[in-house]
Amino acid sequence: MKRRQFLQTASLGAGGLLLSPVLRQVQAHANGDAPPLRFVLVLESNGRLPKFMQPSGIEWPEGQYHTRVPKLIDEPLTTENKLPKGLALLEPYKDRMTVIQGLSGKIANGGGHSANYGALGCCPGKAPDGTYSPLTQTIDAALGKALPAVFPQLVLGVAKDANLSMINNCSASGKNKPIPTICNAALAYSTVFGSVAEGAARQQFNSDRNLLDFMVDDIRRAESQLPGGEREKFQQHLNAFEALREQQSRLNEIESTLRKHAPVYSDKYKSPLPSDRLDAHFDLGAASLIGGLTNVLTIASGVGQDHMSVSFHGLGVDVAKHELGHGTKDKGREANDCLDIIRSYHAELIVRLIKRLEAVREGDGTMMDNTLIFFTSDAGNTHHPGFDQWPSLMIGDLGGRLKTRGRFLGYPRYGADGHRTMANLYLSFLHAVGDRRKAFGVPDPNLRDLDQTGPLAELI
Amino acid sequence: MRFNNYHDAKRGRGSRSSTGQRAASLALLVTVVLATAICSAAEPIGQLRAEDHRTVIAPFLKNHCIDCHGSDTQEAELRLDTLSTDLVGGPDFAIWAKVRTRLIAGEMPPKDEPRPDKKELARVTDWIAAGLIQAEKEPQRTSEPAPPSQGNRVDHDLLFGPHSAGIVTASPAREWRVSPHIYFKFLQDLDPDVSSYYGKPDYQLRGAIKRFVERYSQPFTAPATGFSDYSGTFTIDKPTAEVLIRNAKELAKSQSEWRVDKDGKPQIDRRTKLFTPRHRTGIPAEFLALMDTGVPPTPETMEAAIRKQFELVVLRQPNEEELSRFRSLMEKNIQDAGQVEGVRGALASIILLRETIFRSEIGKGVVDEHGRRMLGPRELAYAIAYALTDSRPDPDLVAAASEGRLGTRDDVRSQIERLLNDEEIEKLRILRFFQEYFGYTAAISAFKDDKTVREFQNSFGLKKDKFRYKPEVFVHDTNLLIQHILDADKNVFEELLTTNKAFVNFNPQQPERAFSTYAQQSGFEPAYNLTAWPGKNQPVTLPAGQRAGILTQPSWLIYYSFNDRTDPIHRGKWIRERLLGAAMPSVPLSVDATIPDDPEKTVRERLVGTQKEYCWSCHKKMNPLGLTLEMYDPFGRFRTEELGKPLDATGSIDFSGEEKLDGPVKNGVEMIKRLARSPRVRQVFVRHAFRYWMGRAETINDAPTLVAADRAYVESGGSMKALITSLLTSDSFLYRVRVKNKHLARARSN
Repeated sequence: MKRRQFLQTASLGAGGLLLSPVLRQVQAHANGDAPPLRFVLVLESNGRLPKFMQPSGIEWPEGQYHTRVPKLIDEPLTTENKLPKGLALLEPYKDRMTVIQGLSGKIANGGGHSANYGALGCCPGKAPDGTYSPLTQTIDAALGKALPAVFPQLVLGVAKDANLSMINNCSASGKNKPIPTICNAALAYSTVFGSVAEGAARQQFNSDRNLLDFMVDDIRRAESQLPGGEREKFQQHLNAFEALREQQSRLNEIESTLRKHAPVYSDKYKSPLPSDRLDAHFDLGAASLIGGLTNVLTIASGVGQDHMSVSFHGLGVDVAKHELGHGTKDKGREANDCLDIIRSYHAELIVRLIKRLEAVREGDGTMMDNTLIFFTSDAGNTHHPGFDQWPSLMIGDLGGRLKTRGRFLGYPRYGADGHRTMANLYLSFLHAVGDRRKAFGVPDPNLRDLDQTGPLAELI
Repeated sequence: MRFNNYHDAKRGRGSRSSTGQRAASLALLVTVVLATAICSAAEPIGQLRAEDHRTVIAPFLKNHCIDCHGSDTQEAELRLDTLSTDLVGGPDFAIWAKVRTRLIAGEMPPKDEPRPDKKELARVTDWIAAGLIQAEKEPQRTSEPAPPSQGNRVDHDLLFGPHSAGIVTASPAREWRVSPHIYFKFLQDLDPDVSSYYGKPDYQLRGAIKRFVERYSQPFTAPATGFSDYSGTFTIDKPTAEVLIRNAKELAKSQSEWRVDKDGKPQIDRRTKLFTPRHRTGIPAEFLALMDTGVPPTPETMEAAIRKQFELVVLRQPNEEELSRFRSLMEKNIQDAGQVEGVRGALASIILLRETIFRSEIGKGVVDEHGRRMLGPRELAYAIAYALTDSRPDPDLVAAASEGRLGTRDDVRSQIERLLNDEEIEKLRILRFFQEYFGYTAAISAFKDDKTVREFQNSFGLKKDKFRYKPEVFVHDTNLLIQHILDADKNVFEELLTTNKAFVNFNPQQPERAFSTYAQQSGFEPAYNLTAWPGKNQPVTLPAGQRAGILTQPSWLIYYSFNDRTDPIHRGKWIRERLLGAAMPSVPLSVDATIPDDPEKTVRERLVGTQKEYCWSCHKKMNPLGLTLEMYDPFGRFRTEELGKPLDATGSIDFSGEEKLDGPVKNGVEMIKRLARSPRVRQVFVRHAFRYWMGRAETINDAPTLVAADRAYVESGGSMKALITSLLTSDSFLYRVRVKNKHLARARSN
């Protein structure tokens, strides 16, 4: 029996639904279907000047303002072009990397030291009512919709206050519909792998199932008493519990996958140190991607005006990121050197993630071949951001769907012909996964003379 | 270039805000609307006749407006000669509302144009008002209640003018998700690991709360600014539900924990023969009886536990149907998840009952002659308790509700007076109103970097190693000041705006010791222009020319400032919105709203950019107010010079809508004192109190409630208790009307 036939038979026998996501992927590949695509979006707090993302040997203005470059710079990244200190660990991946400068995101202004939802949503950083609530769907939610999985997207992160379990800060499925960032790594673990974590878990799992069934039923009973105006609230309450029940039953179906991929539950999951928690989140995120539990992972390292000032004591830097942004020295070290240490740690975690994805075969290559890792800041070009550019980089080319192998792209200055925005970059991601919408987020009213629609032609 | 862009953006904004405004003003009217019948008693002012438009309105527009807003020129993209004259059903409702506001405020026609005749002006604004009132009663204009930030959009003169007579009002029937505070207090009261420390020494309770915060997550987030607890704002989504479930399971566990001996075996209580409860109080024997796997549960023991949990959680007994449902769940759960886990899961399900998360205000009481339903006794018990405290109804309220002593307005009044006058009952909700109204508590999160703080402290010669910055002490001071004024309960609002008394790092429990010795050592008093800690006799009196109430407290001034400079714009915006009751738009998308850094220039000089025409149309309503508070530095210290130059703290009150109020002022203290004398400013305060205690924005139909509350306040000599009592015995608080589905459906399809 040939491998393809075997897989087809196996799937029939087991019943399509019960196939583990991994097996389903293998089967899809055997059928000649494309392997699933994956995104990892890493946001680090504190805007960075372009020079901290700029490869050597390619000229790009150092300062925060983006007023000089008249036209597109499109250069190959070679061994000659060295990455700056904070990104040095990513050197080996330059051949599949694109450093991208000059994309503006001015629409995201207004949120203080962070674009808040504007970083992934290309919308104002502050809502008209003065809150930081989301005004649009963010890119991770949009990608999650195009690349469905048990968890359409997983948003994990750290915040200034280590006690917060979950925060609403950067990800949203629509206007006023935030998707929380899970900050407590232990909670993230139990959310994804809790059902198979330990012996008593089975009982817990059953009890939860009964409880959810009961609650759904109980909430329904309340409906008849409600006045019309309150039905919508009621429906959302019901939907919330139904969605949980649905998720739980899907986790039940893929129990063996969970057992196979659950990361070892170690002390770092319980650690209050942001560096340990980030490590745990990357660990958990990698396992979730490999297990096919999600295809879109967002890592939010201190994202949001209220959460950005994380202290990385675990890396030996005691001054918090906000103060570092203001140039406060740490034990005699310059603030920028400390920020390099922190950025370098993020790069290290990205490298570890890449290595784990490279270790899993997929089709004729590895999982990493079908993945794109996007590394940027939640606050564009500087500590007090103006967002006239947003230094970023990408690793991976989504199975050849994006032309990101070894490139430097520098877009012309704000408002000039050929100037593009973050929305255009995100549209490139969306087009690559088959969502061919024309526009994303809120258009920048000061760029009304430019076409703000469509993906970046250079990448597609 | 930018000018054009701005107008372009403004058009975009205009269309949004007009929708918003329509949603807001109309929507509020959930109340009204549904209840067209109820409102029939209200006579609209004047008559809305088409010929009035021809004889009065059109000529007025032609004489005063069309030159700039007509066929040839359309300043601000606004054209008035083509507006639909059908105010009620036409598409230009929101524009008419705006026209009226501008006319009344005297903003239009512009200052340098001839003033319209007063009578003529009144006829025009009355004509529009009549249309607005009528329009808001149209069912198709109903939608969801206005969000908190848009409360000011209802015209002040319509609320407090002569038009309110005869209106019959009520709130929409609703379910109101409990606030984050209520939810946590609910868990704490039920969790024996916290409640068993009630009444114990402070440090023990603090330890228990610390453990509590580590074990439970707060599922609800409150907005960082403004009133946090609006009934229409919140719902339950999936992540919230996840946290609710986790908390309920944690609580059920804590409610049924037993002690173990050295070997990990359960300790047995000699007297009861049950497991020994982990805490002396709060762990019901009914729960422990089910924890011993050696004793299989019986229907009786299971039902006893369910009854007990109902009593604890929802302060009532389950009915027969509930009893049997929850018992089946417990039985099934024991089968699937084992005895201990199974029982706890079922106990958790009771904690998750919808009525623990949503306060029901459907109107289960009697129907009156207008078709309104009064809140039922149980609904009232909860509504009263949550209006004044974060706790569920106390035994007196529960008893009153179950014994038929909570069915009339007088019953409600006597309960409210009991709660208000009982010193033993903690009424944090009243203080929280002032915290959310003034916003000063956020001073804790206002950023000041080390360099700025050092410079501030060095400026009065403090040694570097003493450096410490504790903004929470300033917040604590303001809390004490407000509580002090509330205790006296005389001219509360005026006192809050004008007092020159202050608490400075004061510890009411131990007056001879400072509240924070750190703050004392590191030099904290200079923010009040004091050279030393004033000691135990507090409040202290500060120079009258230097301080006037909360807006001159360091906490407020620090929150409304940046790292190293003041923030006149947001201070001005606060005064415009919270004292003068205007609705300010947010920054247009196309405006890069950053103030240039320039250490050589004063903040006033740096704000010159906002005087460009396109900025000034809004900034003229904020800057002249906020700049008067330049008499304080970014730490709230009174000053007479800035950057070595004599300080300019002049400003003016304009467009207030009250003629006597408008005019130039020398400085902030003079401005605040003038504002504090204004009836309009007081009424705006009453409007805010209404929003806080009703959990929604006011509508035109709430006019009688507002007028009565204002009168109660004035006639009682400025008593906050009288104001609150008036609000909580008003029809808006006591009565409910049902919103019909078809109205909502229509509103949405619009």
